[in-house]
Amino acid sequence: MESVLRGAAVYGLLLVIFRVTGKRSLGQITTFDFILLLIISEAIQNGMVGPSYSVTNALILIVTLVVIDLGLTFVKMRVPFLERWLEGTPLVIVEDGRALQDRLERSGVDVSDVLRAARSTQGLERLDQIKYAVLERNGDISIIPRERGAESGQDRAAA
Amino acid sequence: MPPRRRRSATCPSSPSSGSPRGGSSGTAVALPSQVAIRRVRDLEIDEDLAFEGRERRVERIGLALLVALVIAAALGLLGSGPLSHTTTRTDGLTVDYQRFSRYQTSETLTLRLDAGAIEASEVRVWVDRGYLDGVRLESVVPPPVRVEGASDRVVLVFAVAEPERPLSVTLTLQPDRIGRLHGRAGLEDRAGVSGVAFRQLVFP
Repeated sequence: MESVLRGAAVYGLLLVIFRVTGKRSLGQITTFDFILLLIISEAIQNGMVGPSYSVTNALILIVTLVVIDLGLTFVKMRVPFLERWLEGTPLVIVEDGRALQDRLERSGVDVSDVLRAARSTQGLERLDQIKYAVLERNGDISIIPRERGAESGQDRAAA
Repeated sequence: MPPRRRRSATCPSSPSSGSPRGGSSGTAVALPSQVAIRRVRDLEIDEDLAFEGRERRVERIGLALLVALVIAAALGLLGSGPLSHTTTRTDGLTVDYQRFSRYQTSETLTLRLDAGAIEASEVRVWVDRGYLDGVRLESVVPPPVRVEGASDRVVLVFAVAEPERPLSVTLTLQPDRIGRLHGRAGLEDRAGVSGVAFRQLVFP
């Protein structure tokens, strides 16, 4: 029984902590974030596993975590309210080549993050080549480029 | 990753894309499958700025709570620390203990006997049985020469090398129960003294 409680407690705590720290907390994995993640798993281990070294205990823990995760997925599909609170919503942060400054600030993302995502995923060079940038629920930034041949902001201004 | 809502479904009629910028102006489009997907200009996206604002407030409160938790833990409100360590005393006996302790984590409890309390070459200290049932005793330093059981208490008998000098006994123990722990300890030879009570809160 204790293993189940420990597993559930750890699942709940981690869910709350990572939800509270926002989408971007570990969304962008730098080397240090990766190390931090390893340390967190190390720190949680004793509290979760407890004093038992048995295989049964490990099995119970793993199954508990997986079942909670599956259960939550199931519930989230049926209760949109819960899905939002557990996963958040996406947010448009660049529109027609213009960075939406207040939204960037609110979500702790800056223009250089957007440009990095634009370069690495779409091979874009400038902000004005981006039609939309969306901060997704998992912290990724998706980039929708302007259609090829579409006039850029400067061209329109010149016309 | 949970399955995303079916976003691949095509949008039958796209409203004019000339709506003013900003997500809150997005219109919900009902699809044949009764799945409503918000549309923000050209994007089918379930952006919701009102929710986003609420979410941000909750995040801020949550962050404040996390910071408070770190401060509380540093001060010892969640286990050993300056605000946790405390002392209580009765006639001839002082008990040093942790007010807040953690489940299955070693801690020490020190019984300090005043010089005046030790008259003979042996001194008898009792600890109530209920408390010892709630903890796992790891060591007693100095070790008692004898341990005597009674119905509701355990009596530890120590040999005293220097009578009329203070003696301190350190118990290393692990709480084995989550929640409140009530303890009581005293000097056996003092008549009419019901010992000193101490209370601990054990965190999981």
